[in-house]
This record gives sequence, structure tokens and C-alpha cells, in this order.
Amino acid sequence: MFAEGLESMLADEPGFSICGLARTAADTLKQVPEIIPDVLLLDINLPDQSGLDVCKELRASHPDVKILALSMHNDESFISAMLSLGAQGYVLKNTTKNELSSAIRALAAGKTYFSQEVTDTMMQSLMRERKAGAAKEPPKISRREREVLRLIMDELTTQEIAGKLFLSEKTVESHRAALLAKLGARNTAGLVKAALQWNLLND
Amino acid sequence: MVMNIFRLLLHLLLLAAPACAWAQEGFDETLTFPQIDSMLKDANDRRDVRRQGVLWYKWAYYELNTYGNRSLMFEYLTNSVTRFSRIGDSLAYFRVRAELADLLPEESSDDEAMLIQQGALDYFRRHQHTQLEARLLVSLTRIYNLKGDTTTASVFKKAFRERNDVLRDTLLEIRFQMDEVMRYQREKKYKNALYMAFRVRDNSNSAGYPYLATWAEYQIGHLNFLNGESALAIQLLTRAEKNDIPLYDTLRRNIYRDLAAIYGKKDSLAKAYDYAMKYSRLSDELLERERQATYQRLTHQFRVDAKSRRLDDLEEQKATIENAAQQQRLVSWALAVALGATFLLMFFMVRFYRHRLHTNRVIAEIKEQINQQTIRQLEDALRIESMQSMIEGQETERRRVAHDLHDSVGGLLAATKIRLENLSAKLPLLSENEEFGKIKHLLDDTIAETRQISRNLQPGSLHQFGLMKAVSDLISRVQGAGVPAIDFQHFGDFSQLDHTLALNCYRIVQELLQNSQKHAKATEILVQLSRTDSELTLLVEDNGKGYDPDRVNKGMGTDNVAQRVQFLKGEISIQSAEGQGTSTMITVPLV
Repeated sequence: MFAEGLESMLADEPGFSICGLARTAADTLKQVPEIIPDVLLLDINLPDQSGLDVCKELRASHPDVKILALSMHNDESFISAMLSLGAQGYVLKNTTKNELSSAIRALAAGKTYFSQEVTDTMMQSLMRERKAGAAKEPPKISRREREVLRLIMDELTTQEIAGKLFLSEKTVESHRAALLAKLGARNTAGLVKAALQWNLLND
Repeated sequence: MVMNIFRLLLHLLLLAAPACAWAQEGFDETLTFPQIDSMLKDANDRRDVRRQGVLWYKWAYYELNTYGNRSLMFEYLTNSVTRFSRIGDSLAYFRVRAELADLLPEESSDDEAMLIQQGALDYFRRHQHTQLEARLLVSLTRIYNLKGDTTTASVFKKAFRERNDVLRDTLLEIRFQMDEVMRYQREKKYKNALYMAFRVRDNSNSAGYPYLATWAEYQIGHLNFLNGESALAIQLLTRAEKNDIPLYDTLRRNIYRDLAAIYGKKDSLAKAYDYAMKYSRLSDELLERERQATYQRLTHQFRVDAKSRRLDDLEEQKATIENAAQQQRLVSWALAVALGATFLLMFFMVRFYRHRLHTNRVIAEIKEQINQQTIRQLEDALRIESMQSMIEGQETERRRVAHDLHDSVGGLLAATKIRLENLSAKLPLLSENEEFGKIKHLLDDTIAETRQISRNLQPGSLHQFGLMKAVSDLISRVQGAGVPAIDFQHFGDFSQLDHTLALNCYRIVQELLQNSQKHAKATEILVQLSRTDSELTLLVEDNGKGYDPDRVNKGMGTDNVAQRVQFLKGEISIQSAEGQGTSTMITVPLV
């Protein structure tokens, strides 16, 4: 039904010709090699298979076919997955006719296109990642980790910490592992050094 | 025979003599047999050895006087001597021993008797018991004469004369003369013997010893008979026959025998026969008497035996009674033991029973506990199962609804929008219409809302990219414009998690995030996922209002979280206080 809507929306667009219409992943994979379109509008949610898989397969078999992801999903995971699988554009289904035609034209011209919302999502994600990756800022440690860290610095053993905090040794160990990972330390000495460096215990 | 009679008389004489001059403690008592018997027993019981010696001595003479039993006398004197020897009463010892020796010539040898008597003589001399010494000298003179040693005999005889010149003991003198009578008779010096016999008779009569005088009269008659003076002999013997003194029968028998012999020689056959018959009868009588005596002694002994036997019987009875008593005691003891054992058994049985009861109760309690536990476990399992089916059903339903919303409604809405776009492109006037613009906006909002609802119902990225990506997407969506600031940290690989587990974890994080955001109004949130080989830890901390975990408001969704944690068999730990923010940590075991 959505496909029909698109067809009617894009049919009278100058320079566009709708050369095929598939409702399933299997149908898509069958028609694309026959038609070899310039641009393929690909939904992620297909009845039989994921659009991600179709994208991956077509990218391998027909690298020249430009793929524009057209999805309800505005999640970073889907966007980056489609992009990494070789999609050149990502447009949400609540798109407008103008946006959609712009996107198709962009892709046909060898460019990429992302709708505004998709761009926002990606930006947010990037920023968070950059934030996490920034070593200048003190790593965020949980209150529980801080307690464990304090006791580690008091030279208590895992067993003693577990007894004191009413936790299982495994949990204490996982806290310790998390601390090692967050503080980029390799051992207890490194933990102590990082804790002092960032003044983590006085927070 | 003659010697025997003589000795018998001699001893009678000594016994009957008022021997005050040589009196010794106990020796001159006159006792009946029962007295002797009881006293001896008493002495035996008291272990009074001296008294035993005296009493054996008494018994010896009792035997002699009553029954003329020389062998028993000998035996008893021996007993007496032994006693005195044991206690070292030398005087009594030598005295009794000397008297014992008087019996010896017939029991063993003269030599031994002489040795004994000489030993006694030495003792009596040393201790100046002249009376006893003199007596022994008589005895020794006789013995040596009998032996034929007249030289030694005359020495003793001389010594006796010297002693008795001082002592003037008539009885001893008579006794000595009697010995002389017998000696002359043996030597067939009948005139000398006759002379001595006359002296004995005269002395005895004057000193008041009728039996000895009688004896002397018999000897005179007898000696005349031996000397061939038949008429005188008959006269004397007939007179002597008429004497009546105790224990004279033996003598009388001899008289009868002599008279029978004399009358036989004189051819007075009738008288000879008469005396022969008398002799025979008296012999029979004496024999009978002896038999009687023996019988009596036997009877007595038997009586003693019987007595002792009765005593034995009594002893036996006593023993029997004691036995019975002992048996009774034994029975009582056994009964007591049995009773004790029974009590003990009962005690232990009761204890055992109580213990059993206790054990049973404990077992029952434990069983009950186990049952309760099992029931609880079953209930838990059932609840978890029902929860699982509920959650799964819910998820399935959500997935279906999400799918329908996303694909059908979403698709329809998208198609509507496309067609609306198409329409507005064809009708430029329409796009300028305000109402049309509002409708387009409304449609856009509807599409966005539908997508949101669909995504909340079913996180598409969870299935596609795993828990970490899904949570990451969730945080991206929640964070929106940057408030609240959410820090997301993850350690470990979350790609191979079981879908149900991952979905529940996702829901938990989603719920906790919502709590922090909506209820706690937190401005900073830390979300942390960490995975080890054995467990998965979810941590959501915020700087929000916080709450008292003990008075948690069910409406806040923590109940949902708790249910999911229980379903995952995990543990939840909430640290929170008013104004202190909240830290919720969930640990889920990985199977």
C-alpha cells in the first residue's frame, strides 16, 4: 500500500521512471539483477527478510545500484547498520515528496542523503561517543563503584569488600572489572593512580 | 594277767590317793564324763591348751576306771602329753609322760619306757619334785626288775628308800611293797613274797586302803596255793572271796580259779566243779561286762557321732536354710537386677520413644518445611512460568501490535501521507490552505507517535543488533535534547545473549530510565551494562529525588522490574534515600 503511494507520488516526477515494484525481499533480490535500477528504495521491515540483509547482498552483487533506506526506524543502530552495509541514503517513512525526490536525485548523482531526523540521531550518537572517548574528562563511575574503589584503596580484598558491602564476590569482581575498564587501568595499582589523578573519591 | 590286775589296782590306788603332796592344778579334780566332754570342747574352743592337756589326762583315767581300756588310756595320755609339751609345762609334761611310760612295757618296749621315765626322773630331781621322783623310782625299780637288771633296780630301790625315809609316804611304800610281792612271786621266793604281802595287807589296813588289803589277802592265799599250802590257801581265799569292793570281780575270778585248782588237786571234785563254774560264770560276766562296756562306749561314741551327725544335720539344715536364704537372696537379687534392667529398659525405651517422637516431630517439621519450601518453589516456578508465559505472551502481543502498528498502520499512514503529498503537489491551492497544512501536521504527528509506540512495544534493534545497541538506541531516544544527561557505559560482549533475557533486561533498563526521568526528575543518569562469563549486571543511577526503598510506590514500575528480576532468577539491590538519588543494581545469572 505504501509502495503504491510512493509509485503514484513519484510517477509524475520528471526524469524518474519506476521500473519495478517488489513487496518482499525475495522479489527484490529477483528483480534487481533483471532491471539493474539506478536507485533502490529499500525498507528495512520486509515480510520475509530484513532489508539489512537485502542491502548487504545487493551491495556485494550490484555495487552500482544505489540504495536509499526508507524506514520507520529512526534508531542509530539501524541507520549505522544500513550505512555500514552500503546504503547511500536513509529517509524516514514520514518523508515529504520533495525530500524523497531530492534524496533520489542525490543518490543518482552519486551523493548521499539523510533526512533531518536521521541526521539528528546520528549527530547525537556521535557526540555521545565523542564524549565517552574524551580522556580529558574524568570517567563517570557509579556510586557503587566508588564504594568498591574506596575499599580497594583501603587495601581490602575482594572477599572483605563483598562482606562489607553485602555483595557477592562476583559482583565486586564485576565492579572491579568495570573500574579497570573505565579508568584504563590494568591492575589495582593503576586503579589507585587513576582514582588519585581524577580525585574520584571526593565526589 | 596277774600283771594287768596289779597295774590296774596300782593306778586305781594312785588315782584315789589324796595326792596333796604332789598336787598340780586340775589334776586332782574329780569329773564325770559329760563334764570332761563339755570342758574339753570348751577348752578346744578357747584354745586353752593346758586345760586340754589336763582334760585329756582326766579322760584317760576315766577310760581306765570305767572300762579298764588301756589302749584308749594310752592314746589319751599321749594327747595330754602333746598338749603339755606344746605349752612347755615341763612338770605336767614329765609327770604325764612318766605315767604314759608305765603303760609302755606292753605297748612297745621297756627300754623306751625306761628312757622316758629316767628323763622325767632327772627333771623331777633337778626341780626337786621329790614326791614325783619317789614315785618314779618305784616305777623304775619295777621296770628294771622286770627287765632282769637287778643291779640298776637295786640302785633305784635304794634311792627310793632314801627319799621315802624323808617323805614317809605310806601309799608309795605300799606300792613299792606290792612290787616286791610280785617280784618275789616271779622269782618263786614265795616265803619272801608272802612276807611282803602280809606287810602290804597290814599297811593297807592301817592306812585305810581296803582294796589294797583285799589284794594282799588274795596274794597271801594265792602264794600259799603256789607254795603248796592248800588248806591254808583255801581258808584264805574263801575269806578273800567274801570281800566286796568295787572292781573286785577280776580278783574274785582269780580266787575262783585258784580254789577250783586247789580243790581239783585235792580231788574235791564237787567243790572244784562248783568253783570252776563260778569262775566260768564270772568270766562270762566279766566278758559280758566288758562287752557291755564296749557296747556302751560304742553307744556313747555313736551318740557322739549321732550328735555330731545331728550337728552335721543341723549344719546341713543351716546350710540348706542359708542356701535357701542365699537362693532367695539370689532370686531377690536376680529379681532386683531384672527389675532394674526392666526399669533401665523402660527408661531407655521411653527415652528412645521420646527421641523417636522428637525425631519424628523434627522430621515432620523438616518435611513440612520441605513441603512448604517445595510448595513455595513450585509456586515460584508456577509464578515464574506463568510470568514467563505472561511476559512472553505480552511480548508476543507487543511484537504483533508493534508490527501491526509499524507495518500496517504505519504503512497506511505513510501511504496516506504520500497520497496527501501527491494531492498537494497536484493542487497548489490546497497546499496553501491552512486547514490542509494542519491535517498534514496531524498526520505527521500520528506517524511519529505510531512509530514511537511501535518502537516502545518492540525494540526492533534488540532483535537485530542485541541488547547493547538496543539500550543505546533507547538512551538516544530518551535523552532527546540532552536533558537528562545520560551516561551509558558497557563492559563485555552482549551479542550472544538469550533473546528473552535480553528483552527483559532491556525492559528493566527502560523501566528504570523512565522512573529516573519521570518520577525522580533526575538531570543526570548513569546506565551501565556489564557482563562476565557467569552474570549480567545492570546498573541505573540517578541524581533524582530518591525514595525510601522500603516504602516503594508500586505504581512506579519497580514492581514490574522486581517481577522481571524474579523471572530471570536475578537479584535486585536498591540504594536510595530522599534527596540522595537512586542506585538500582540488578544481577542476573547467565546459564
